[in-house]
Amino acid sequence: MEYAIETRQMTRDFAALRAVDALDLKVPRGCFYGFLGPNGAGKSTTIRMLTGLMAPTAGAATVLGEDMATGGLAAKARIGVVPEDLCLFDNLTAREYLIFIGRMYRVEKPVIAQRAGELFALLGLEDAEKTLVADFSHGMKKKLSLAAALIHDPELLFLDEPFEGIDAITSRTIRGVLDRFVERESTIFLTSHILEIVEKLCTHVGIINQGRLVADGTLADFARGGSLEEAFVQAVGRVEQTPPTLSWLNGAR
Amino acid sequence: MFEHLATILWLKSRFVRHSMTKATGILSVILIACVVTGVCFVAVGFSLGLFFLGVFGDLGEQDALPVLAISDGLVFFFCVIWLVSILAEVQRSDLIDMRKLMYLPVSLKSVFGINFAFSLLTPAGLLFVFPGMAFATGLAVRHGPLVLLGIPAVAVFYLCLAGWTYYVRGWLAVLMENRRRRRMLLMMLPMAFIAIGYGPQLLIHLGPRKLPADPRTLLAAVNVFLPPGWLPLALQSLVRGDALTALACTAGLAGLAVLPLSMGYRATRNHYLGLQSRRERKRKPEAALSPKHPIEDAFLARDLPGLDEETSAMALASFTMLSRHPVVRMQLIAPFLVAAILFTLYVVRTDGFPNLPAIVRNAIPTAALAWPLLNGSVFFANIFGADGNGFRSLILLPTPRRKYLLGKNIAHAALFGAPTVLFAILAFAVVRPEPLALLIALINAVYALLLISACGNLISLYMPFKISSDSMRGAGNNPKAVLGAFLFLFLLPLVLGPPLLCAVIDGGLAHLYPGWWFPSGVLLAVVFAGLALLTYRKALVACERLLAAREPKILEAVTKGKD
Ligand SMILES: Nc1ncnc2c1ncn2[C@@H]1O[C@H](COP(=O)(O)OP(=O)(O)OP(=O)(O)O)[C@@H](O)[C@H]1O
Ligand SMILES: [Mg+2]
Repeated sequence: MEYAIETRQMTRDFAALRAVDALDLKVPRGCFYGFLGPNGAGKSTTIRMLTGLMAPTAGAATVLGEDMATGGLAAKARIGVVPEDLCLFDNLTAREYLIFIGRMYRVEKPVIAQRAGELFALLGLEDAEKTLVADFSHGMKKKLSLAAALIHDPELLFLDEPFEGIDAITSRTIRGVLDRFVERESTIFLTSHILEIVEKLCTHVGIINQGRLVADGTLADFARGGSLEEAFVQAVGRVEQTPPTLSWLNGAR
Repeated sequence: MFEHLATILWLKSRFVRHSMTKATGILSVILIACVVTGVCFVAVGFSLGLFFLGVFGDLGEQDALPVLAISDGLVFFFCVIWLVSILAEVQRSDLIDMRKLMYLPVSLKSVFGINFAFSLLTPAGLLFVFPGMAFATGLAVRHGPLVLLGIPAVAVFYLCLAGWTYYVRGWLAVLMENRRRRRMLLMMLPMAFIAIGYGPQLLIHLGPRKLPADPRTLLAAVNVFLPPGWLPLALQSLVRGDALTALACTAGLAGLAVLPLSMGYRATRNHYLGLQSRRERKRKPEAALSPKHPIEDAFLARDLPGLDEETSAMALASFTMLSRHPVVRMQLIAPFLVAAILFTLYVVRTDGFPNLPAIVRNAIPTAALAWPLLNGSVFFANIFGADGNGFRSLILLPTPRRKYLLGKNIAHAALFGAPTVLFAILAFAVVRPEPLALLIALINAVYALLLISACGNLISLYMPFKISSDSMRGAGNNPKAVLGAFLFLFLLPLVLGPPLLCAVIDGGLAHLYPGWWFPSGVLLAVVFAGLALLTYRKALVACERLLAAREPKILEAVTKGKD
């Protein structure tokens, strides 16, 4: 079976810190993969390496059958990415940005027009089309990043915390869109801290802690032992019956 | 209350320390120390000079007119320095953001007051207050203790000016919260200053030729009608023994000092609390967006002749972004000024400078090529610098990297090349060399832009740095920027040498061999342009590979730090 994403001993060091440690990741095609882990676990670093934003210190990664070490331009044409730190030009308007991205993916102009219109409507950005990205709120930027990641109809989507800063209504819309996306045999690789969303959407889950993959499998595997939250806490290795609290909150005011 | 003061003082000190150590560390600390020492020396020297002038200069004559003239000069000098320092301040926009303090349990009044107090501590202030007071003391030694009243007058004058500055700065800060308005403002300010600088000269040229018979009357009138003149007026009347006028002047200045502070406080409070002024409430809501245009009409969706889809998109997007960048906009003001001057020369000097040797005249249109080198270097030599986070999407795209470089180069060439060509044509019209000189200059422009782009690409890949997308910050104080600009200067002979040779060679040959007719200059220019094209293409291939390898490094450099 060919995987959408496959890494072999992929490692990334920052000076003395090993952010990602010999990661062996296998993401089947057509699955909705939830990549979980505590803050600083190495999720974003993994996505950066898989999308070519950062080079691995050691190891290799294959995305859609293409080796990323050689630049992976062929793979890049078929993936869409919402990176953690976003990827927008401050001095373009939302519309101009989508036109630019669409043309760079060689999408036909009428198709760009149609898709941009639908994306703006779907994400509630119609009124902001002609606003400079510099004047956008954080959530609006996130939405525009998502729109740009979808405009060329990629086979594989990397979403780094796509729901962070997104309002509840749009979040529900986006979830519907992502569901449809996976139904068409496309793959999504998503990180999120909102376990409810992961539980609702994902078919596969991987958990990373301190750069190491500590658990992975189908959602059904995880759900067997109880809720995903319990499985997460267990995998990350902080099993305490009652979570710790602040000393001065004990007792009355 | 004092705890709050301490907190704010601490914050301020952090702020100063941070901004000092941010860019270049120890070097900038040394630099600042030198500047501070220099300012202190100048202030002390100035004070001593004015003190002795007050004591020994015979300034009481002619109704103490010399006192008026000297203090007018001092006030004028000070106002100029003050204006320049405001301009610098606005560009750095290091004003403490009061909203950050609003989360602390501090009263807005104390924040406002402390901020004002800090705004008094400037080099310009040092250069004015002490010399002014020393002058008053010196005058008092000579003309009696009454003149000591000049010391508070100097202080009140300073408070007044600082108060107005503070008010204007607060107003600017509020304006600049909106990034679009901020862009506009950063563009307009230098123009306004140029206008202020040239205005008087224009008035002198255009205004009535005859001044009032007695310059003394004029001086006195100016001092009465312009509030900054009230301080010199006060000093003069004190020397003449007229305490009443002096007191009136001081009181007037004090009144003018209170006004902006109270207005500024009210405006600041309204702004931070989200209250609207009456005028703002009256303003209509913004008009709804115009109905949607089809995307095909958008500027960014155009196709450029002879270029493929991606290169067109890249060139148009870069052009759009750059043309919205305040630094570029400022740099594009200058061509208008130069063009206006050239045009005026063209109208005035219809004879076309017959005294200039033919060889020099032939070279002048080509000299316009220095323009993109001198003005566009920050962008030519750092093509990804202003992309910021957007560079990430360039990495994520599947586009062959050559097209990024080519597209960006085309955008830069269009922005900085158009003024070059305009200058060449205008210069040609002004000095009227041989007709071929213009053709040579135009071919040379192609040579120069190709060469600048090729070298700029290489420097961009090795020394990328971040240019803020909406201000001047980033370009000025970055060591890499300075180094890059320096490297660019070394290119000057390479970029300007061969074109100048092409421009003058025919004249030289005609001098040696009378009757020479062959257009060797044009031919040579074409050869050079062809060589430049070959070089550019070779460099493009090399840079493409380099870019692919260095993308992550460049990303780190152009996104590092916050705006
Ligand atoms: N550019 C960098 N330089 C140095 N260290 C870095 C860099 N980027 C990430 N790190 C470090 O690598 C580790 C993993 O970071 P990463 O951003 O991948 O975490 P994450 O799992 O995405 O966390 P979060 O859930 O908070 O987004 C962290 O300890 C972080 O400090
Ligand atoms: Mg992250």
